[in-house]
Amino acid sequence: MILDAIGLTLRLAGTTTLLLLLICLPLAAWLASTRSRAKPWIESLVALPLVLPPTVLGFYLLLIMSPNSRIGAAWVELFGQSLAFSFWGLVIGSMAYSLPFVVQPLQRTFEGQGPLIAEAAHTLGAHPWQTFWAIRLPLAMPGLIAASVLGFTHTVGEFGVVLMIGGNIPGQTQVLSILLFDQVESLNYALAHQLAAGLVLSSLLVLFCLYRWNHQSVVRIGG
Amino acid sequence: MVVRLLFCGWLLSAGVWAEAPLTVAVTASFKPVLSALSDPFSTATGQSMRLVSASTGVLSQQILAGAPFDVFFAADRAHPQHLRDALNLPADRVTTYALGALVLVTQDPAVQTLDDLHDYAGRVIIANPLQAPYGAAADQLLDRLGFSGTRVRANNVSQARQYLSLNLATVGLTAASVAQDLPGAQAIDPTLYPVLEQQVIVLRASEQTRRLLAFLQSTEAIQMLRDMGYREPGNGEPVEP
Amino acid sequence: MKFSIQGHWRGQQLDLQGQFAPGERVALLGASGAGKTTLLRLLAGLDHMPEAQIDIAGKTLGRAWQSPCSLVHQQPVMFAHHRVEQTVHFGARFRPNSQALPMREWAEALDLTDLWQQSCAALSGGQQQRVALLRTLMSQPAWLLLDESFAALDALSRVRACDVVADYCRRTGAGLLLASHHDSPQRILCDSAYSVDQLTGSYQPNLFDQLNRVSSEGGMTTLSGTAEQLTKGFLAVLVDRQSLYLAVPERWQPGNARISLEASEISIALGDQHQTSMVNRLKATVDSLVSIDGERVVVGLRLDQQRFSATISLWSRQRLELVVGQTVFAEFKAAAVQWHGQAH
Repeated sequence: MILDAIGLTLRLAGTTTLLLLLICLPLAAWLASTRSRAKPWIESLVALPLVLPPTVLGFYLLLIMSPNSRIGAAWVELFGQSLAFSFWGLVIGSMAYSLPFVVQPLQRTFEGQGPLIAEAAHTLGAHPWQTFWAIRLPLAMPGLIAASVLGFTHTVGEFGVVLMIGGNIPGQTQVLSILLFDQVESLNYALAHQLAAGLVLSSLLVLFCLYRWNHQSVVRIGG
Repeated sequence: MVVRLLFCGWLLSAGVWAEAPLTVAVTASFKPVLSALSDPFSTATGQSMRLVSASTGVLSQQILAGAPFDVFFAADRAHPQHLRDALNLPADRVTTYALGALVLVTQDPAVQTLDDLHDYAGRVIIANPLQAPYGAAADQLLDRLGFSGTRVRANNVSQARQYLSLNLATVGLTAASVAQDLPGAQAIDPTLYPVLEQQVIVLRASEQTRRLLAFLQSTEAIQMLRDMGYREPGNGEPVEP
Repeated sequence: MKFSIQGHWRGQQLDLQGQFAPGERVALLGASGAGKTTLLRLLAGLDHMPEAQIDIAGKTLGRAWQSPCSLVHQQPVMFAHHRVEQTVHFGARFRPNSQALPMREWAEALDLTDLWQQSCAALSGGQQQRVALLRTLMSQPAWLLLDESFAALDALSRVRACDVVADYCRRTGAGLLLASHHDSPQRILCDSAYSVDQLTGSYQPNLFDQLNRVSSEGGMTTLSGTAEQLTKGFLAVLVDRQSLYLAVPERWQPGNARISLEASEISIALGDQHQTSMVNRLKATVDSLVSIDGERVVVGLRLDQQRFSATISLWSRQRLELVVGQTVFAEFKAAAVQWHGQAH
């Protein structure tokens, strides 16, 4: 049961982080350099999960996943099962929930690079995409790693949204934090303690490694 | 200045009114019943009550932490018993005030009756058996029926209702009290699942709390219980072990 | 290259029009804030002004990465994750032109060989400027736009960097637009001038008409001549059929050369018989006498074809009784002659 939950949690956090990076890299790069009027709106949307209670997020996710909605209906049409209570439902929920934790460090990193970095690459004939891969992304490595670690740990620690949309199915959607909650609620404090201490320790360790690495990082931005 | 006066006035009024009404802690699922009974109760006794509602687990924690409740309507047996032991209260402070009923909610053509669940391979929504007595009862019932599909475990009966109303699954077992207006709800023979006793614990015994419990025995209150998906305890029902 | 940039741009009214021949080397003159950087950024495609019309080699200017103009920023931009070698190769990566360029030779001339494996993040300002220059050269732009790109270099490195740029332009036929606070790179590299004054531009086909005019107030004059041979520890340069001597520069070859004279370092003698320690002695005709600030006089001096200036005190002028048309001798030390290269 515990091993199932750990495996599931790691798989969920890994998948979520990977997909978030794919979305957030271009988004953050765009946000960092755009002068579009839509920018504050997009930034607000991205930051929304920071201030919203997870239950609100979960509630809207449930509404979207419901076959009563177009998206939910289309999903059922495609995959024969509703998105709620499935691994991919959790992935989508976790992505929404951890979005700001990945976008914001990346955006700060890209903003720190300033416009000149890209300009210099452009004058050498590199178009924006080549500039992104060869210059901006490698220079953003510290931010990328910070974003991945934050996104990953935040997903591991996620509770409210999973509680709303997960359905608590062992091996499928019962992640570590939910298992822990179950144990506390059913007065099984011994196991709860083990799980909680494990979560605290591993999170602490990961964050420690991140900050230590960041401290010693030699890749600096700019000239 | 005006603000300060107003503030003093507010403090005073709060002080005056805090003495008079009963402070009643009630598990979220039973709150609608007590709300509906609130007016008839004050008409009948001249007594008012304030309802504090949360989940049974949360309210128990608050009581252990010294929350000033007069009486606590829990959703199960375990929590009032635990509180009675923890607070060293006499045995007669805990009584059963209602029996819960489980209903089958189905919008799936493959599940017309309870027995169809034996061959059903889809998802069935139940409350979390570890936390909700209704969930535990539903879990046992599913075992008994030989159900082998996926059990989606909502955090509590209200969430189970939410899942069902959003059509996130078409079949579910939940409390009759929350399934009143769900389409496709059907009653289940109460002998098929364990008795769902809901117990009340009197934390501060007084004439007022006695009156409230007595009022719950009235015809009016019993009719309300039944209307809202509960059964009254007593008369041949197993109440205490 | 032909450009017409007229209209409002970031709150300023621009009027910059001009046309440069392919391979032309243009000095961009003007006080700071006059609009030089604005012009260079627009030509490089880094900024876009919808009303601007810029055609280079018959094609309308596109985005920065399609522009045949490469700008080397005033503040060198380093990619912190690159080593010097990587970043220079990065310059060559996106415009794989046919011509092979002597990368290592230029790196040596720019004193970058020892830094070749170093991280770009660890370089000093001057080193970064040289790396940025070489990187841009390797991208083989048809027009090289330099915006104060020699500012952080000392005099010797500046001359060497100019040599490399001249070599680049010679090999590829590329044109050059050079904005520089120090005028020596322009005196070495450029032929014509584009002056930007209060956001309005004007073109002069001869840079020195413009630069040497400044010397009517007692500045520097650049003369062209022919480097001939080493004599008695000096390099002899023939200017209008008279030889003058200067300290032997680091690199030279017989042929065209530019040298510059600082007006305040030149003194004037009337006879050719008297003894002096001055190495240089040019016979010239006084063709103007302009008194400045009540104490000094700028003496315009003509050789066969070229002019230069000397600044003397009012008292000296009166003592020598100088008049226009008089023949005099301009005397100056070898150290007063600046070598301004053989870029042409």
